[in-house]
Formats: sequence, C-alpha cells, structure tokens
Amino acid sequence: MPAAHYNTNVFVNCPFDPAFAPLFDAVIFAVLDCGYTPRCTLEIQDSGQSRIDKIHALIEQSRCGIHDISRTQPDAGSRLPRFNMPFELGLFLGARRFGSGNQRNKACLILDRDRYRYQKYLSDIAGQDIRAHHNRVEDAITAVRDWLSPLTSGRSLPGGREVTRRYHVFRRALPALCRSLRLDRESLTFTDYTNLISFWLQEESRLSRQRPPARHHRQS
Amino acid sequence: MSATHPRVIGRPAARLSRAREAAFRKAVHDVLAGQVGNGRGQSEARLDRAEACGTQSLAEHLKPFSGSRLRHARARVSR
Repeated sequence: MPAAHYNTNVFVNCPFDPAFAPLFDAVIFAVLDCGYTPRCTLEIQDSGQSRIDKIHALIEQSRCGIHDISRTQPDAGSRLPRFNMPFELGLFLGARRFGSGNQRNKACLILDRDRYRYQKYLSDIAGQDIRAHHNRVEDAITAVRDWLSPLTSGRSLPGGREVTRRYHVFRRALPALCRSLRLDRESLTFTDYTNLISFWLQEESRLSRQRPPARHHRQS
Repeated sequence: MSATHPRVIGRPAARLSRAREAAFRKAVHDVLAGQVGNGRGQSEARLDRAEACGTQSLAEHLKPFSGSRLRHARARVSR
C-alpha cells in the first residue's frame, strides 16, 4: 500500500481469539465507516513476509493505531499470558518517539476493559489516550469514532450511535451475504470481511441518498 | 453531513480480484435489495432492508408482522 495512504491507515492491534471477536469485528467496522483503512497482522497470511517484518511495515505505513490491552488473563491452553499486544503498542510508541518525518505525528488509541485498570499492570503508558470498552460493542465503536473524529479534517463523522446502528444492521445481513458468496461466516478472512463491510457501506450509503427526506406526520 | 453528499468510506488494504469484487458487490446489492433472505424468512429480510434504508421507525412498526400481514401492516402504517 503506497505511502500516500499513511494518514488514513489505522493499525489495529487487538486479540484475535474467538472471545474478542465481537469487539474486533465492531472495531474494524467502525474504522471503515469513519473512512479509514484498518491494517492488521491478519494480512500476513496473504503475504510471504515474516511476521515481525510485516508488523514493522504496518506500523510504518499507519499514522493511527488502535491497541487493545484488555487481554491480561492467561491463555486457556498454555496458561501463559500473551504479550503481543503490549509489544506492538511499544513498537508503535517507539516509532512515534524515535521515527522521523511523518512518523512523529502518529496517533494512538489504547483500549482496555476498564479505564484505569492499566495502572495495575502497564503503568508506563499513563498519559496516553486510554479508553474503556467494558467488553461492549457499543462502547468500543464509540471510542473509535470519538478518537478518530478530531483527527479527521474536512468532514464530520457519523455519531457513535449511528455507526453502532449500522453495524448491527450489517451483522444481521452477514449470514445472507456469506451464504450468497458461499463463504463460511465463522472463518471469513480479514480481506473478505473488510471488503464485505466496505461494499455494504457503499451500497447502504447509495440507498440512503436515494431515499426521500423523512416527512413529519401530524398526530390526530 | 448532508443527506445527499456521499459518505467517505474506508477502502480495505487488500483488494479483491475484479471477478471476486463483482460477486461481492452483487451479493451486497441483492441482500440490501431484499432479494436474498437471511435464513429468517423474506419478511425479516424486508425489515432488514427497511432498517438499512434508514426507515427504522417503520421497521419497528412492522416487527410483529410477517408475510402477507407484513404487506397489510405496511400499507396501514404508510397511510
């Protein structure tokens, strides 16, 4: 992806496990609905790059970064915690601090389950933009939208409630979309999922513009 | 944001092949046009379409109804 997209690329650094999937799916939708391009390591499966090289490239190509650090509990299988999210957050903050040129204007949203929980396990990040999603889709979408809004010049973003409404309508349509395309809903690739969202939003926007303005009826 | 002004929508980093993109666009169009059900019956698909088009209050009115009752209810509500 060319450097021209740097300002609209959003590096999404979140858990990929099934328990987090509802929030991950919602965050990806919110990023696209706000006019940005989500980038994440799930793109790696389609490329021949090594994982760390790809992470470096994604961070370098993205002005914005969303980092969810809520997955603090040990993995159910290994009983060990996973450090990928804090590691990639550190890389992102390091790029902003030590990088040159436009790397220095990076913007970063850190999500956790509760607002001040990070102080117990990652207190070094105090002073960053940390917001709570309370494991709720609505809160995650609103956090992403509200964070992107001041970073977006020249246009206004739809409100968090509107993005959430559209997300729920899209989710209801997703089984039919998958059936129509003979895709397995549970194992959609990141590429397929993001393209489905983007096309759905484009078509939904087109239909909305065709709709006649709402008329107000008098109550008799 | 103007109702008639096109929204800015994010573009995925990884693009699909032209044939695959055409298939995706057709599936999206058909589902939003209510031509493809979502496994819960055509009435529900119509409700989804109504909601997708933004007529949420109409969809709320029609939720208890299905099939031919949906058509009658829609006629009543829109009158």
